[in-house]
Amino acid sequence: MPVPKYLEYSTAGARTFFFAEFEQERNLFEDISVRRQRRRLAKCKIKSESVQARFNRLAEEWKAEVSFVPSTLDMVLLPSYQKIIGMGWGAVPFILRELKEQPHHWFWALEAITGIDPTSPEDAGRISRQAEAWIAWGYQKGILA
Amino acid sequence: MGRKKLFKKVFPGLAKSPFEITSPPNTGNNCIAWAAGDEGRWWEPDIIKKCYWPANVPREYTLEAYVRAFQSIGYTLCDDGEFESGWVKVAIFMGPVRPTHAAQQLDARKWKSKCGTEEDIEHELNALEGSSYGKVACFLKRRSE
Repeated sequence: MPVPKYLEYSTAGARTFFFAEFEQERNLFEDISVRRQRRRLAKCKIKSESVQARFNRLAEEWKAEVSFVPSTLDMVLLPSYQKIIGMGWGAVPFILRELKEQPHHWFWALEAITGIDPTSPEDAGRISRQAEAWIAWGYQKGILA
Repeated sequence: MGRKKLFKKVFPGLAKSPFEITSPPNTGNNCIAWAAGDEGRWWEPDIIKKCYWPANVPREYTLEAYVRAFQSIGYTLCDDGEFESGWVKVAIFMGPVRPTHAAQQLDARKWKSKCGTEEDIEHELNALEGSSYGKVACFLKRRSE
């Protein structure tokens, strides 16, 4: 039986190969169908709740929970945040809209879902600038209009 | 729920001592950055490096690393939080597993804190001790500018 791709990750020799191939697949996905897929995902329903309604509910829950939380580590481990990450690409347009309204610690989720990071290392800790980088990426990719 | 009432709920010690809310909420910085005098960034040793952390200080959630972060900007460890004219003092709070908070001394009675993504407050030091932020673990000081 052939070894699944994700198992190759665990072998040091195959690591570079795996990431190169993963990168190609991701670019292909981006190029061909990303907009159509996202539109479709945004309309899907999870347990009879629309993706947008689910995101809004979880985001409100998360923002209320993190008010006095002292670290992003604690923030991203909250179940509401993890559920948003679990929504995958369908959550990305809504996260970007949230960032436009009020910069917050959505970067961990965005990076986990998309696998990319458009922010600059010099902007570490500068929440507004990191939000701007993600919003610019959103426009560039046609996710925000 | 009023803002003061919410603070008292999260930090029961504030119900027994005077405190004042001194700013609007702000997601752009945290208590560590704020106590360090940096109002434009979020200081935290997060592993994905989205937050600022001083160079050459271990990126780990330990009291030692937090002390070293303050030492990197001129603070030195000191014995207590007694007010000393000509010095600025900082108190680092420690929860059950990692540092949670930092407050900066204002005068003989009052300290100021940025609480999570919420407002800044002026308070008595021990009023923030409890289940949310744990206890004061150490003090540092540096000459006031």
